[in-house]
Amino acid sequence: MSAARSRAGQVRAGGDWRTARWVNAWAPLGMVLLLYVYFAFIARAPFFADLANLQNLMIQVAPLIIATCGQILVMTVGGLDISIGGIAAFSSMAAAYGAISTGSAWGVLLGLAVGAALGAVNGWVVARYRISPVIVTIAMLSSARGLAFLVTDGQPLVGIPFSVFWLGWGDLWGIPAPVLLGLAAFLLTEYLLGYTDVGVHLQAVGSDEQGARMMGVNVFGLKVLAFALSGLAGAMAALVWMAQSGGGNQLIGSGLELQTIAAAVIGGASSRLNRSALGGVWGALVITTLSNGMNLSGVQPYTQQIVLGIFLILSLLIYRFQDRLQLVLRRGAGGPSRALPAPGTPEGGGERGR
Amino acid sequence: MGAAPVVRMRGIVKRFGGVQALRGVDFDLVPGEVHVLLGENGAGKSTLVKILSGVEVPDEGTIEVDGAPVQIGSPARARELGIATIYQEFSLAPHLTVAENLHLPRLPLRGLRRVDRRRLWDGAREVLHRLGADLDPDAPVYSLSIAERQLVEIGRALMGKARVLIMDEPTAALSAGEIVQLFETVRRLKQEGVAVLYISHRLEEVHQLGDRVTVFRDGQWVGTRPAAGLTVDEMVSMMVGRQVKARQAPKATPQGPVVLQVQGLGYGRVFRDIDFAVRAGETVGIAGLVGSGAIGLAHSLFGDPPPDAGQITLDGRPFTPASPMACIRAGIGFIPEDRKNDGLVTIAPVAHNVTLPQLHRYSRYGVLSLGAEAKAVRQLVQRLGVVTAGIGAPAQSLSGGNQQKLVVGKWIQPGLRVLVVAEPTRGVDVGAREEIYAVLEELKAQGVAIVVVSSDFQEIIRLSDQILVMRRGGIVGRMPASEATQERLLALAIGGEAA
Amino acid sequence: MEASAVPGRRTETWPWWRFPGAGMLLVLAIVVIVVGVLEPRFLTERNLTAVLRQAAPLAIAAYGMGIVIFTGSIDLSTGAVVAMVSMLGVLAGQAAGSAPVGWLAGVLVGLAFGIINGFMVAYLKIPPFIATFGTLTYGHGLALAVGGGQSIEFPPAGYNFLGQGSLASVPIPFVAALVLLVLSHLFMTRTTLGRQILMIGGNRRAAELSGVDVRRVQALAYVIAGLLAGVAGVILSSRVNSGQPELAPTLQFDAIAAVAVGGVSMRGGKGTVFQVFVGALLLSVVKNALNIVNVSTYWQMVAVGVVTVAALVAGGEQEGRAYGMWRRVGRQLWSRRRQAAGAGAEGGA
Repeated sequence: MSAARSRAGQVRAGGDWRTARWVNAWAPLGMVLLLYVYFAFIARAPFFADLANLQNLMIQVAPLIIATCGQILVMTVGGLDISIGGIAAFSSMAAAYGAISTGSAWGVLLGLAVGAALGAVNGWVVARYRISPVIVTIAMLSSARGLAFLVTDGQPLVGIPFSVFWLGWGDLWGIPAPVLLGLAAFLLTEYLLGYTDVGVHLQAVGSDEQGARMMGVNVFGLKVLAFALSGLAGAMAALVWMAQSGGGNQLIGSGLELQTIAAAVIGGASSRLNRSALGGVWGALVITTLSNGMNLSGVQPYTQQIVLGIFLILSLLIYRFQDRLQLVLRRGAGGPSRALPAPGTPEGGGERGR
Repeated sequence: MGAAPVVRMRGIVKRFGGVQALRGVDFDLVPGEVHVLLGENGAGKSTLVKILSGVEVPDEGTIEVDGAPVQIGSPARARELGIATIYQEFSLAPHLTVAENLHLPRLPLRGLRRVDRRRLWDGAREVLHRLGADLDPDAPVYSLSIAERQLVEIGRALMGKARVLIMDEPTAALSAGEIVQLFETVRRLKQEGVAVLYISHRLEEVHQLGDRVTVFRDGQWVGTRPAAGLTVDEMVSMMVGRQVKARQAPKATPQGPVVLQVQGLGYGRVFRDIDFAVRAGETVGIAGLVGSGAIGLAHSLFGDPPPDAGQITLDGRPFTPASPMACIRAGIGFIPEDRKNDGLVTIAPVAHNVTLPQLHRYSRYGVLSLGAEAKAVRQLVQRLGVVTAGIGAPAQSLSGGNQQKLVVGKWIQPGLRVLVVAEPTRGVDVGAREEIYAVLEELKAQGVAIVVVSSDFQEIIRLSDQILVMRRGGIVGRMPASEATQERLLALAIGGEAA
Repeated sequence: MEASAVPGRRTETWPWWRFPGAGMLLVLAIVVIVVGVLEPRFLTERNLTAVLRQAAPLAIAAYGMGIVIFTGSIDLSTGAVVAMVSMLGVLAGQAAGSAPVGWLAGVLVGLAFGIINGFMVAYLKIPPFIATFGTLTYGHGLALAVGGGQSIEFPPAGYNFLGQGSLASVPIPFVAALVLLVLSHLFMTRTTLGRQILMIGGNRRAAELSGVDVRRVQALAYVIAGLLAGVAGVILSSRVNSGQPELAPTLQFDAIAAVAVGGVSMRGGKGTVFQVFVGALLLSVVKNALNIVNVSTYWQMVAVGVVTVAALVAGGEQEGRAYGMWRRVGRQLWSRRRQAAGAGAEGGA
């Protein structure tokens, strides 16, 4: 391809990238709507289209959105956080303990602090010793859940001050508190990722760690930050569940690692090009709508799991294909620029994780 | 050029182990000049670049920036001093946009750490404008061509207020049109008073771009001349020196049948219209500098990736190098130029590396005969004179020369018909080099057809019967080795002389 | 080159006791002795057979995990695969009215999942983590669906032999683990495929340029892991004498921990099945010891996590400074000993 031709192409394509990114970020909404239409009008799941169920759905999806925001941050630096459910469990115990011992709802902040601290430990080990994040967070999953059981020898921690229940059941101006928290988590993550320099730096680390280091980006600090925020998000989600279930519970957050990863992947947020939390919202909505709709249609929970697993793999294949297609289309009919593919050259698209 | 030098280097000495890479060289850079640094492989150019960009610390000598003596010591310090280096491998974040890459790590902010998109964009536009680059600041870097990525790298240097720009073989991977654009950019920078240290193998670029030329040879300063009026012959003789040419006794012309015939071979933009034939017991040398496409040709002959144009016949039958596996089955071997990444599994033992391409010879129904394998490897290690603590020692524990012997040894086997060799002695000490040559000669004597690709022209002359010279993806000259001289090959490869 | 001049370099006279896994074997011996001295209940025959019975399925699944990790990949589906194996194994056994048919069917189910994983990772190029995580999800769902969320009871007579039987007081599962240890070890060291598995883990590109069919080898590594997970699943299922959808839902985590504790590099290219075996044994012994001294199972969860990461940090997962530290300490001790020996010799002369 001659320089002149590629230049002409770019003049024509000026601004196209913003459109492409916008389409990518909003396209999964279509999946949510399709599911909604399917359950409401085609499968005619009983009560599905009711307003009460819609509100119920929103409350259900909120904690998942919160946790998925954390997962997306970790994915942005090229990692994965399997420990998020374990951290949620231990954080719920810590939050309940804090609330009970201080007798105040503010005691739950202890849970948030513990979540962030455990996440930071993840990040520190990953960044300092360069061990695969999958392994480190698997170890943390087991450790954190073990700790959660340990503190009360397997008993749930009940008797939290009544004011804490607001987090799960309360509302403000008619908007349920979990929804508000979910919205807040999404907006904060979206701001951090999409609008601040920290977001750009996080993505630079995930894009090419060595390159980012050469450019003077603080790779170590950003990794610790991303994992710490993921722990914080896990703890935040745990607060909602804790308040809903009435106390610290070791089983809080079981399977959360799977759900958050699935949400991020289905929403397209696992692509290296992603710098938005929006995909997490769509993914979480897809998962929750799916399970809610199937529940109401009387589908067994295990069938839902099968569908979710297949959804996960299929959506990854679709996004990969889409990424490649976009690059080819952009390069013009000649296909991607022809140079001997040098080993180790970072190519566009692609997902993170091993 | 009356201006005071921005960089002044005096008496720089750098040793690597026992090897003296630089033996007390002087070098100046004046604002607003393009200073071309010339020299053959191993002349010390890249060592000088590394010292100036803070990657290496000189053993002796002084460096002054703006007249004040400095210790550079680290890449960060070099950046602070306004010295920016564009390496052949870029350090960009491919999934970020052009504008973001230009500004990293410090992005323009307004309240609450919010990235100021407007200033980010304007800053990027301004720099791109200064470069004369027509890039979309919003495009992700991975969608750019190599030339465009290079512009982003240069733009990054400008954003960092660089006053000295070091460019190492910047045109190696560019097409003709892209090179014209790059030169325009460099001229603009020159006018702005940036001092450019420019390294290239292409002598025509000296006249198109350069103000002054400095030549290094064997780690020593040979001379600094104004570029205007310096002829290609003069440059070549400065680079090669007045050494006595080691003319070899005319080799007996091999009379074996043609084993490998290549017609009209091409791959993308890398190389095209390549024709040659190799007889059994003959060595064809392909001389080409960085970016000539010769290395790409070598890889393509081995199906990595397969060529997309032309025909190959092997022993008279058409053959498609679909994959390395298919090539190995057909009796083709390949010694890649990048030993550490392509040639060896460095953490694996010596024995496993040597037998990897021919495991079937030591196995029956997929079961290995470790005894037979060890015996064969021991014999080979002895025959090649590999210095190793044992055949179980990891390959990474060996010296460069001994590692290279392993890579050669991988292909020594009865069924070998063709051996494609790329840069066989890069990073190999003199003793091991002769031993590797001896092995190649031995294989040749056994009737193997050998293709040697190298940018070391002495090596090409030493090994080959027929020589092809490649430049910009095409063949620009052919001659029997008896008529080849280093000057002639160099002149063809850099395009200074019509063949 | 005088090898002796370079401390730490391998020499031709490689002492017999410095084989991979030797260090962990020593640790295992020390743990066994220390626990045995502190807690007499540990070294009883009854307890030891229980430990071996527990360790066996973990070890077998870990061999498979190790083989996948040797290629530089990972398999997170083991927990779901063993559940599916147990469900379908019991069902097939019931249908045929024969225990061996059930066992065989179980192993084949593991194999099938291995093929699916291998295809997704090697040919569809789905990142191993997500592909096997997907299998974990739908696999677990399938296991629940097969029994309608219930376990499947009443397998054919004799089905429990593989899990509960003994051979001259050695538990059958451990016999199986030992047999498979030998087989897997021979596979890795004595077959072309085993060799190629290590080589693609060490340097994928160099292996490809040496004619290794990287995709095929990668896929086959998953197939073998699936096969071994199948065997582990049959043994687990036979031990509880039923098909359980929640048989060992976190088996993959324990298997990864065993591989890490055994000292295998998570980056691939290095390691032996024997190391994995020692890692699995050590992990089981520690768990059992904690059990005996009445440390809650919850501490065990914490311990597994901490030990895994500690093993990786100490084992020097590439460039880790801890690794450098250990080597430096080792070298210093070594050279001091030499100096002392040298001084002694001089003094004597």
